[in-house]
Parts: sequence; C-alpha cells; structure tokens
Amino acid sequence: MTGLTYQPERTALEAVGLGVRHRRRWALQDCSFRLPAGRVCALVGPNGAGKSTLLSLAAGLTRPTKGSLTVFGGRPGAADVRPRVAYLSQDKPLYPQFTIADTLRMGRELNPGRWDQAAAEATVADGGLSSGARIGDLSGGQRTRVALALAFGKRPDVLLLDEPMADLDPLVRHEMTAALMTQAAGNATTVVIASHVLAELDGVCDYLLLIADGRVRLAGEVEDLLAAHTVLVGRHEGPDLPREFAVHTVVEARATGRQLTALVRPDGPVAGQWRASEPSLEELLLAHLRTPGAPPLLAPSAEPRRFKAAA
Amino acid sequence: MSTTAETAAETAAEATATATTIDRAARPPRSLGVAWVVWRQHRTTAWIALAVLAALCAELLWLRGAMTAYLAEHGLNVPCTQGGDACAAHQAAAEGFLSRYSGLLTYNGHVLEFLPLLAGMIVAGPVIARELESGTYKVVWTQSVSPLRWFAAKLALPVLALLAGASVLAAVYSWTWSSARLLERDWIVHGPRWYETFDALGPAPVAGVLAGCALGALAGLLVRRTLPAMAATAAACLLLYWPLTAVRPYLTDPVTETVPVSAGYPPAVQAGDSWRYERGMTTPSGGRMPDAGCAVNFSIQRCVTDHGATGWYVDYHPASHFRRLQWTQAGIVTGAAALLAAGAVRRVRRLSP
Repeated sequence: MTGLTYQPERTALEAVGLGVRHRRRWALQDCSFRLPAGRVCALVGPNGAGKSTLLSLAAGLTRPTKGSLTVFGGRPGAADVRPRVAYLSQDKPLYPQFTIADTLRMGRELNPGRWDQAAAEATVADGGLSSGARIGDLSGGQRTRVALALAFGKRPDVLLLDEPMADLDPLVRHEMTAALMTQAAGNATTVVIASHVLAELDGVCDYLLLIADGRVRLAGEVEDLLAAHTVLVGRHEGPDLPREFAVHTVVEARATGRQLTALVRPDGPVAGQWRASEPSLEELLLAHLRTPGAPPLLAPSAEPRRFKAAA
Repeated sequence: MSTTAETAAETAAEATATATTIDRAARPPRSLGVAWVVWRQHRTTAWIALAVLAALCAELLWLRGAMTAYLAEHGLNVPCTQGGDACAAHQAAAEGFLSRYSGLLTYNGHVLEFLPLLAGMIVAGPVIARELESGTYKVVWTQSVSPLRWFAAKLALPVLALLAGASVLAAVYSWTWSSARLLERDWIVHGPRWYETFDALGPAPVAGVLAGCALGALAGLLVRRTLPAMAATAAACLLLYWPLTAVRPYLTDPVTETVPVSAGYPPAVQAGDSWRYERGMTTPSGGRMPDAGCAVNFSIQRCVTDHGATGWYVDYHPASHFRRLQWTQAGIVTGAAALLAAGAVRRVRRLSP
C-alpha cells in the first residue's frame, strides 16, 4: 500500500466544490478531486454523468456555476494556461473546407512559439493520409486522427480527450492509443480520457476518476483503488447481508442461488468463510456504476490540497 | 589518409547540416496568426464578392458613359432657349432619357440601399454563427490565442473588406448619379432625386454597412445558428431602417415657406431639387395642421374655410441640406454600430470564461 502514502507532486487539475448548472439541471455538483501531473487518467461515468462538462470546464470553454477548477494552479482559459492545454471535443469539429495541411498550418498560426509541426505531421502520416486531402472528404476515424495531430502539435502539458476513440475501428483504435501513449510518455503529458468503453482504458490509464450523476464516486491511482477493494465470494442465504460485513463498506452484493458475490472496501480482515480476491478494473467500475448510492472514495493523492488547507 | 577523408566528409556533413539549419532559420514561415485562419476560411466568398463588386462598378461606369453621351447628343446639357418646335424636341429627348436611364439608376441605388442588410447577413451567418453551430469555435478557442483576439480578427477582416467595397461602390454610384442631375428648371432630366436615393449616396451606405456588420455579429452570437441568425439580422435591419427613415427630415432644421390663404393655391409639393416633406395649413392660433386633415376630393377653398386656416406652409430641405443630413445620419448610424459592437464584445466575453 505504498501508493497510498501522500506524495507531494505537481497538480494538473484540481476541483474544489465544483458545480455546473445547465438550465435547471446540475451537470456537476460538489465535485472535489485532484489529478497529479504526468498521469494518464480515465474519466469514466455513464452517459450524461458530466464527463464532457468537466473536460469543457478544464478546456476553458465553460464557466463553473459554483466552486472552482484550476489547471496547473491557474484559471482554465487564462493567458498562461490556455497554451498548455489541448482539448479534443466529442464531435471533433474541424473546418471541412480546409485541407489537412491547412488545418496543421492553423495549429501553427494559432500557437505561435509552441507548435511542433513534425509531431503533427508524423501523426497524420502514420495514418497514410496525404496532406492535400480536404477534411470534409475524410472518414470519421481519419478526422479524429487529424484532430489528434492538431492536439499533439500544440505540445500540451494537459491533453483532454472527450470520447476520442468512439468512431475508430479496433485496429486504428489500437494504433491511436499507442501514438497517444508515446506522446504522453515522451513529453510527460497529463492525459485525461473520457470514455464509457471500459475496454479501451484498461492497461492504458494509471489514474481513475469515476463520476456519476454529476458527483465524484472514485478518484485515485488505479492500483490503489483496486487494492482498496476486495471481491468476496461465499455461501450465504437470506435477504440480509452477512453480519460479518457490517464493519466493512459494501459497494455491491449480488446473490445467485446460495452464492453471494460482494465487492467491499474491507476495514481490517474479513471474518468467515469467504474467498477474497482483488477485483479487475472492469469489475470495480461496473460495481460502482450499478450502485450509485455507494459512498465515494478518494485516494489521498486525489484529495484537493486547497480543500485540505481550508479544512 | 583515410582518417583525413573521413574528417573531411564529416566536416562537409556538418557544413550541410549547418547550412540547412541556417536556411531554415533565415526563412521562418510567415506567421499571420488568426488573420490567416480567417482569410483561409472566407477566401472563396472574398473572391466572389470582389468579382461582384467589379461587375457592379463596370456597370455603373458604363451607365455614366451612356448617360453623358445621351445628354451631349441631344443637347440636354443646356436649357432650351429657342422655344417652339425645338423645345418640344428637347422635351421629348428629356423624356427619352428618363425612360431609358432613370429606372436603371434607381435599381442600382436599391443595390446600395440593401448593402448593409447583405453585409449584416454575411457576418451573422457564415462568419459568426456557423462557427458556433458547427462547434469549430471549440477548436479555435482552445488554441493559444484568446477568444477575444480571435473574435477581433474574425470581425475586423470581413468588416474592413466590406467597408472598402461599400466605399468604392458608393463613390462610383454617387459619381454616376451626379451626371444625371444636370438640369432642374423647366424640364426634368434627372434620375432619382437625392432624397429618394438618400441611402445610396455619400457616406450613408458605408455607415450602414458598419452598423449592419455590428448587428450581424451580435445576432450571430445570440442566435448561434447560421440560417436563423441571417434571418434575424435581415429582420432587425429592416426594423431599424424604418425609424431611421422616419426621423430623417428632422435631423436638421428645415426651411419653412408660408403662403397667405389669399393666394388661393397651396405651395407645390414637387419643386425641383428640394425635398418638400410636409405641407399643411396654419390656424389662427398659430398652430399647424398637416395635409392629412383634408380629404382628397374637397375643394381647397372649402378645406380652408372648414378649418379656419390663415395660410399655407411647407417644410422642406433644399439640396444644400444634403451634406448636413447625410453626415448627421451617418453619425447616428455609426453610433448605433458602436453600441451593437460593444454588445457583441460583451457577449463574446460571456461565452468564453
């Protein structure tokens, strides 16, 4: 459990009491978390959970209704923060009448002193795209590649990706993930990937942020979060939970016949005849998604520092 | 020996490398920033607009040439002094001029009158609202350049181009129009009068285009959808045009002509180049009663006795008021443009945190 010890390091994103209201509905409510710099973070949640809202806040496109979100300690959209953040929105809008070369030139013109033409061109060339092709003639996946090239070329410190792989076939998805990881590792970029395709996150992300109904459910290192949970399988009858579970936090318990499978956050050793194992990332996520009422869990590295200082 | 060769090769390679670096450093790619993006986006529209402008100018210059040639050919440049048959021919030639060119000139005037509306629709739809509708603003606003700077360039380039185009077109139109405004005494050789084609002359279309662009920008930012934004701009332009026309006679003090009731006839409503916009009767108490009070089929005398009028009056602007009226209106319209532009800037600030 060494990962759970508090490590002082730079903060990429930090939210304190963050709330965003769209008309009458709260898209995000009372969100507090911290994302240390240099992580590849999966932002997971059901549709409409507030993932896109959170990313668009961090990109400086939306304003919070309550609380605050900071990027490297600054306000998103501030003059010193804007150049450090790249954002890929869900619909990947690009100018359809531009060629790929035009689009990359736009990146150069709009990011003076920061633009990495070689990185952008390499991303495009890896997909076998010619720079003279018009954006409007590209397929969805090819357009995603150009949008990613535009994001890579900016050499961002934080890369915010909203459902980046949704319209890619499995092969291209694999390639793009590899390209993304190369970029992230090479430049120590903090990456936030919003997705509800759990399979595309496993093995790629080392940090997890789970939000549902506009609230943070889980936040922290994937390893730590997995280690903090246990899957218990054993024989049990009756509608109530076994008495020995009372001291632990039960996230989800499902009975199939006489067998009970439970995902718990153990507080000390579990008494009784239970087979215990560490959950997979998918098990952890599914259990939390199915049980919206489970108490939230923030690993120490994910607790906002300003929040701590205030408390 | 071989070592020397290697060293030489290395030096050469180094020199080439340095040369390439220097070559690259010496020719840094020209950076135009947001302006390049705006130009790249709208260059097709710009070329089309330029072609249309050139065609309109050519047509107006041809019209001027044709009109002056006609006037010279038929001796319309000087009044008819001989009388009799010569003057009848003169009169016929003048009427021929009217039927040939007056309509053409009026239509060209209408093109200029609708220029502000057209400019507003271009800015509202393709320039602003399309970005918001298609979501491409998200790409631009998340680059290193601030949304406000993007908006400034986004507006400045098309607005400057539209203003330049409107200025050229207005100047050419004014010049062409002035050649038809020669003789104003006994017969009438003229195109539309200055007060009839007021919005197509002088600074009026230029100021109008400025206000149209500001209105379009604001409408585009508020409506955020291409076609509805264009429709809203057109509607708002027409709505704003109406009060502007209504207050025009009062922008500067008119000249008032009074005639005693004993003259028998009221002063004429049509009189050469002066804009007679209101005629009526004066009452004994010193009040005024505009024409509207008199029914058409009444005899004038009966109307006078019915209302106990003491005389007639007519308010008008002589042609010498043209400039003052033009610049006052241009000032008001530019002020409105500034207000609308301020609203648009506020809106961009609100949209982008």
